[in-house]
Amino acid sequence: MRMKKWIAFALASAMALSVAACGSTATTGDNNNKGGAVSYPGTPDADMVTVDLRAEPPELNSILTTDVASGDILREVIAGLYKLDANDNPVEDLATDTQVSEDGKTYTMKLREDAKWSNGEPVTAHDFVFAYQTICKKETASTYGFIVYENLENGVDVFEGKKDPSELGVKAIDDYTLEVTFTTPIPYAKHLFAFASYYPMNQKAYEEIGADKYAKDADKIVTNGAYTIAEWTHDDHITLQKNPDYYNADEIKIEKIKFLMMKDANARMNAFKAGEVDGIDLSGEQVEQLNKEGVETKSYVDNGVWYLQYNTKKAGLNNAKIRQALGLAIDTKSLCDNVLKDGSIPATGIVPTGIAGTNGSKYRDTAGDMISYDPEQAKKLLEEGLKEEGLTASDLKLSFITDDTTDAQKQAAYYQEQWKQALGLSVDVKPMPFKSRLQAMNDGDFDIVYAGWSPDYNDPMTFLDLFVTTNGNNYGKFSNEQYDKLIEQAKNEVDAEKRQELLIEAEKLLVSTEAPVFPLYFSAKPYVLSSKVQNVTKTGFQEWDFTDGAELVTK
Amino acid sequence: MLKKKNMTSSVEQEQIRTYDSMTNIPADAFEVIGTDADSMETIVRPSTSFWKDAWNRIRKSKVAVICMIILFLLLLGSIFIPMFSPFNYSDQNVAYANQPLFFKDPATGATHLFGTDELGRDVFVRVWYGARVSLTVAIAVALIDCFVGVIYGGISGYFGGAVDTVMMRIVEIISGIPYLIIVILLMTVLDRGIGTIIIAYSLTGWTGMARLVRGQIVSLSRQEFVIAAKSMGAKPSRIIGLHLVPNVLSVIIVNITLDIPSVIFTEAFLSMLGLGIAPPQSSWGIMANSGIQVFQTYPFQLVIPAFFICITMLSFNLLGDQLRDAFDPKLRR
Amino acid sequence: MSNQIKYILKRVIYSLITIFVLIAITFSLMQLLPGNPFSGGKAIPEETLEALYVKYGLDKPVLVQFFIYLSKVVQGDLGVSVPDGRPVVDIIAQAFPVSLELGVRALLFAFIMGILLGIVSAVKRGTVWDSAAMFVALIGVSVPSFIIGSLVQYFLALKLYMATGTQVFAVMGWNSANAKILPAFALAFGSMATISRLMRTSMLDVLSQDYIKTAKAKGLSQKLIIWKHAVRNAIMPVVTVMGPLVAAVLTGAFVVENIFSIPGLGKYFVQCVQTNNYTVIAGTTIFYGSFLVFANLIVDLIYGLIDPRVKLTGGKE
Repeated sequence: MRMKKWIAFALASAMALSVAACGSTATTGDNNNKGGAVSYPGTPDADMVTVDLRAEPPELNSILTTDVASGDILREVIAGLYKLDANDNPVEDLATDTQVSEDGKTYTMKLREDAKWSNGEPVTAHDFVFAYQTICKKETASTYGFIVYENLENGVDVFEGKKDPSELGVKAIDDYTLEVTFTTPIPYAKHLFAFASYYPMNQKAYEEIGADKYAKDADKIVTNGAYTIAEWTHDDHITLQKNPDYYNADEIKIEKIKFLMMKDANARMNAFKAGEVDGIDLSGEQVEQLNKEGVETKSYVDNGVWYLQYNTKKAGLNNAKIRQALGLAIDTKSLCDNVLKDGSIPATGIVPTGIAGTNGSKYRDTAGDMISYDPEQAKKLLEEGLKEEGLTASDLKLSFITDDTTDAQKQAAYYQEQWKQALGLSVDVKPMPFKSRLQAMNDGDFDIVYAGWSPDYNDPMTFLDLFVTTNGNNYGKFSNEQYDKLIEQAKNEVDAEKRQELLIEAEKLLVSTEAPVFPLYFSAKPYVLSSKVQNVTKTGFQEWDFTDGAELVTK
Repeated sequence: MLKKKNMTSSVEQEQIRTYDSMTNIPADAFEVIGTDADSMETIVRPSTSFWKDAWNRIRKSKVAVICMIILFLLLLGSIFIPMFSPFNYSDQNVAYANQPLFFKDPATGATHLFGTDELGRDVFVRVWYGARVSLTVAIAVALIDCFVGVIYGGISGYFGGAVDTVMMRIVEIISGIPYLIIVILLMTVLDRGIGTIIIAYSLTGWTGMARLVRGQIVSLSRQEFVIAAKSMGAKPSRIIGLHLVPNVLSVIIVNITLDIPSVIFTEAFLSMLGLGIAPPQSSWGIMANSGIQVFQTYPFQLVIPAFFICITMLSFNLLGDQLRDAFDPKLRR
Repeated sequence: MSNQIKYILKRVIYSLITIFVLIAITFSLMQLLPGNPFSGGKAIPEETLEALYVKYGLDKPVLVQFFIYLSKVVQGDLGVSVPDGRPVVDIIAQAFPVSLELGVRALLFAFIMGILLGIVSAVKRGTVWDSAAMFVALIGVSVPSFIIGSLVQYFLALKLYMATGTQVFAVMGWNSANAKILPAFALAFGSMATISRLMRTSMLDVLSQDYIKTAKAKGLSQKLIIWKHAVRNAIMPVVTVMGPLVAAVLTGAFVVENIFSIPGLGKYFVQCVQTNNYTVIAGTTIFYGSFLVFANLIVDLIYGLIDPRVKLTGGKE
């Protein structure tokens, strides 16, 4: 289960600080390997693995954290109720013997009694109660607080100060028994328990250090997980040291992990080749380069989808045919093969391939392909659309806003040229800093925007829900009665098959007919590891995880 | 004048020939000729103005001539090559992306002289189109800096006193603000067009010129010809425009020449940070930036824009140096 | 003497005014920046946003915010970085020493090499040495530092490592001695070129002076003339460009620190520009600005002290 979050707009490299990428649950088996004859030996240290995090983790306070880089560190150093295994399935961590009430709302868990905080205190149920109560307080101002207070019983009332925090749906029955009550039965509750916002917090340490300073330095955080933070030089590296007190310490095979924070893609590659780092993320060009050398690269599908969103209130773009035309004019296969080159695949709908359908199938397999490149049709649709609106092609002055990263601008140039070639439209590209773009989207001050979305939970609804009239993230102000009705029906439908049919109908309406959004590609993230390390978990949900059996290769 | 002098000397030579021995010259052979006021004041060297003199010396400097030729060719190329190239700077063919030098497009048969970039665009036409953008920005900024700087510095230096103090304090404050940081801030606030780039760059750049001009004007206005003009009641605008500015023009020209490469550099630098011109347009900075991303695989995509940046910076710098020497009366031979 | 003090005082006051204006400009530009400091990927619930505004004091009128900010800056508090909650002063205190070390290394390198090259080419004017030295200088002024940085990283760090199997220079970081050479070199190259050209001109100027001719006529050794008489005087004009050079090195570090992944303030600043981390951008700008203003002030004062021709009697003309 992931936070509702725009995926890293900056793709592989920049922006890692402010943006969290989200990922999928189901598709870890998809790691595809290319090349393989040659490998780089990696760092010379005997007991330490060094990987790149791209940027400083901005917030290691689990109550406030929102981003992927911080999540990567926290996953190694904090043990929660549950953790994700190598396949992104939630498995018990500190919790043992979980009992779910019949209405599916209340979870009662026994906690391990041998877990200790790094300040020597035992990890008890009270640590969870403290953490959840704190995150639900308004003055904590946790950006992701809603993921707790919108789900826990009385959460919203506690947040708004209408009820006392003690009435929140979390109780310590005794020191080692925790009871969590949700407002509704949540099918993905165990995913939530593995998420950082649901981690425990040691009250004593938190109050001694102070909320403002907590987790700002290596000595200002207490941990209870597989690793401890041994050293933290801001904006340079974090070194983790194996925690001998961790209950599962026997299964943790790597003594030390060093996370670097390299911003420059070339520097990453040079450092990797020079044996200064064991694992780095790659750009499409770098994948190509390494494969040419015969080096094996890997990638994982992160189940994000990238799309063009149209401002349906703008003249011209209020016409579905014109919107369709703009989408169909783009050769997304060529985009993936020749421009991105990172293993991303052309989108065939808004819901990515990894999202689950009914009975263990994939939703996408049932839903089928809903869009495909068709410049001829695009041209026809544009003409018809223009006629309907009483416009000419020259009246259609569109601007396209995108991030100002090199990658985003490169893609923008590609779309721009596709529109020009297929439709003869010249579209203005306006690259802008991330926040400016968000502001422009909020203000409805755009024609077309390049954006992305990652799943909240393993269900098509997390994507389709975005485009109902009332959704706060529906920046294109798309409003369609039929669509809203279909989504509403699906939400109340108990029969899984029927629900899926409704969702498929809605998706078709969305991408094939109304087209307020044009899905471009389902993204993948390429990376490379040195021959020194193996069994590292790297998925859309867990960018780096060394606690699922990662080990150094002994030579 | 010249003729007259030659005549005199030939007469003298004749007389010398008449007497065989140098010791036996009768006294009456000598004749008092007096002094010829004309011949004493004769100017033998060709008359030349300051500008002509500078031009002559520049012309004799091989380095300066080569630099001027290079810059002239760059200018011509940037104007005409994008016009006559079979490719457009924004035309893409992603199927033929990242192709090497002299790549021949199998479909059209046209040759990509410098290969293609990551989107299959012709690097040759892009580098020349980039020259347009980079040079336009550089020259425009240099001219605006010069224009504002000359007026500001001129007024400040000419009027002196309280006006001067206030104006120079303002300059001091503005130039104390780190240039690049302000440009970065502005570029994040403003849209990414060629116009805003020029505005952002020239917002603080003029202060150097203002100081320079003011310094020159202050020292010039103490000279007699200015005092004379003033006492005859010439208007300040006339004195500044007619007497002072032409005399500081050499400094201004040198400064413009040295300003341009620094703007080119800034443009490249900001493109590195993603604060360059918007796609699909190219500039040398944009090209160098994307070239750096791939230079281990496709070195030419970096080498080509880098070469153009370097050669331009080099030419302007060298030309500036030579101009400075040419204008410097101390170095006159 | 009182004139000197008056001059120094005057310069200090102007510097302070400059910094005030800088703070005002930075603050207003921050207000112009779009979006709010908290906007991340997803629309933040209205209530949470309100809570954040209150937490960071952004709910007050702009002018009030400015004066609060100003009074905090005067007390040495530059606010808190919004995404990670670290005080900006702490960030600067941690990152700036790294940048300073890099900068000092670069400046020393630029200064020493620049002066040496300048002397060699002036003394051996017209010879191969002169041409070689000036060629190096020309490369320096015409190749941007990010290109030099990328090239030396690739060839001198990576390729050399691959060729020799030993790590002569590290590719990145700032933790070992061999990591500190290439970035300093890349950063210094341009400044070195400027200094060597300046030094050459100045040296040629000095060498043609009468007192040098006198010294020659007296039969002093070439070595003595150059080192004792010429260099000392020729260095003067070089000192005046130290202010601008400090600025160049500082801004050059923005890129060089990124290329070599050095945890300095330049890398941090660029990152904050790209992620719109407003408080850090503002704090760093004010810090950099003040630093440069005082660097210039000190250069001016030092110049006044070491050059007897400049009298500290008020404004310069």
